[in-house]
Amino acid sequence: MKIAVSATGSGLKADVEPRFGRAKYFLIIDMQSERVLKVIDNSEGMNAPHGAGINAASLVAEAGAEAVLTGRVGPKAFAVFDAAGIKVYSGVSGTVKDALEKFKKGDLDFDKGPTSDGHAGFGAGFGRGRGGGGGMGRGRRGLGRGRRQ
Amino acid sequence: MKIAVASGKGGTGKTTIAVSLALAASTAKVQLLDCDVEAPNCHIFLKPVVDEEEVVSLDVPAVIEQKCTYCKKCKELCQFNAIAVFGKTIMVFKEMCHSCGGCFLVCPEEAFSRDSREIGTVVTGKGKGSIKFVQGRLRVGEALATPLIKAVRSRALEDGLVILDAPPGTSCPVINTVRGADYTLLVTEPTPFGLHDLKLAAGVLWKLEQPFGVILNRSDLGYGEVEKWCNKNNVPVHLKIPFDRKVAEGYAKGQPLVEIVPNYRDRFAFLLKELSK
Repeated sequence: MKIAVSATGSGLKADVEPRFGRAKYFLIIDMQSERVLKVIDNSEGMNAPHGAGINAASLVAEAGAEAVLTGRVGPKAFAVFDAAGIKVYSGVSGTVKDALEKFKKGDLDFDKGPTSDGHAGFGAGFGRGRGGGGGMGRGRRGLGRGRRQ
Repeated sequence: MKIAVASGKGGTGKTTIAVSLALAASTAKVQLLDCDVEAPNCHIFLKPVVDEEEVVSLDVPAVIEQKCTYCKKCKELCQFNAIAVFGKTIMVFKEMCHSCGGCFLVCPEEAFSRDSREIGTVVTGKGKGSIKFVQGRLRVGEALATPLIKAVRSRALEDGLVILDAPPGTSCPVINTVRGADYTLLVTEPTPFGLHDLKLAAGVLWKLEQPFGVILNRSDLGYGEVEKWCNKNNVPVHLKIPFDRKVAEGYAKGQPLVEIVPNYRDRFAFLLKELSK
């Protein structure tokens, strides 16, 4: 069985990246041998202003993973996993190695829906504070509940 | 004549000014376009009778599965990641689509058909004193404001006085509101935030090479740097409106400034005369 883990580095000692779509690496791991079969470099996709999750999920699906271990998954990436028949295990933290252990022991539960509300859409740099803040927020979740410009 | 009312900072009084201008105009043909489609509010003050509501939609792609060969040309073209292709699966996220039509052009199999996504509504009607009123209402959850703003602007009168109430900020929706206006009034307040965002908004208009001036709202808040900056940069300050609790209370009840303090009517009428020169 092949699984994918979102990670901050390219080896088993790296931490699990909590944000799925904006992870720098996806490690494709063979559960039998516990070896990294492939490192997907997502450094381009992680900075995409739109649809990072969709793109990242497609890469993972294309690599043939049957499950993904990560922190949080938004609704669009989840839809891709759903269509690809990939099980999502979110809320995972610690090192990749720790995550694999937990997965093997059956300590993780897979998700029935997305674990992060979507924040894809309009590009970066459109935040805006209403009233107090000056309209220079970056990103959609920047300044409280400010409307976007 | 088209006058846009904009600001960098939110909550400075754009709507107050836009509504006052419309109500103070002596011209027979006056139209107010509420281009702040994410949070339109001019109707609260003009209380228009609605004649028509028209839904605005964008063309987006739908996949004809039998024709798709999963070649990924569309996915590679799409800058918004609205299309996912993996193995023998293709998915279109139509809420991500910016309706550029590129996927239709690049697909060698003609595997796309036209679908649509509702982005909002354009409401037209007549407000107080026979002001022609147009408002855009963005669908909740919709990210693309500019096509709806363009739809609102397409209703602008060719002649007469057209007032455009812009959204706050300095990005695409603002640019699409103020572009082509004969004059833009930037509403700000004498605070460090007010100055900071005024500079950004002025930067937009300088870049567009369009004339503009400033209205200073709550002008007695005390921070003198705004006026200093205006003087230094040859930006005219057309009007100063001191803080008045009566105005704030009336505003909260949906009363226009020129009805709460009637002598403002003349001041706005004078400003309009000045601007039409």
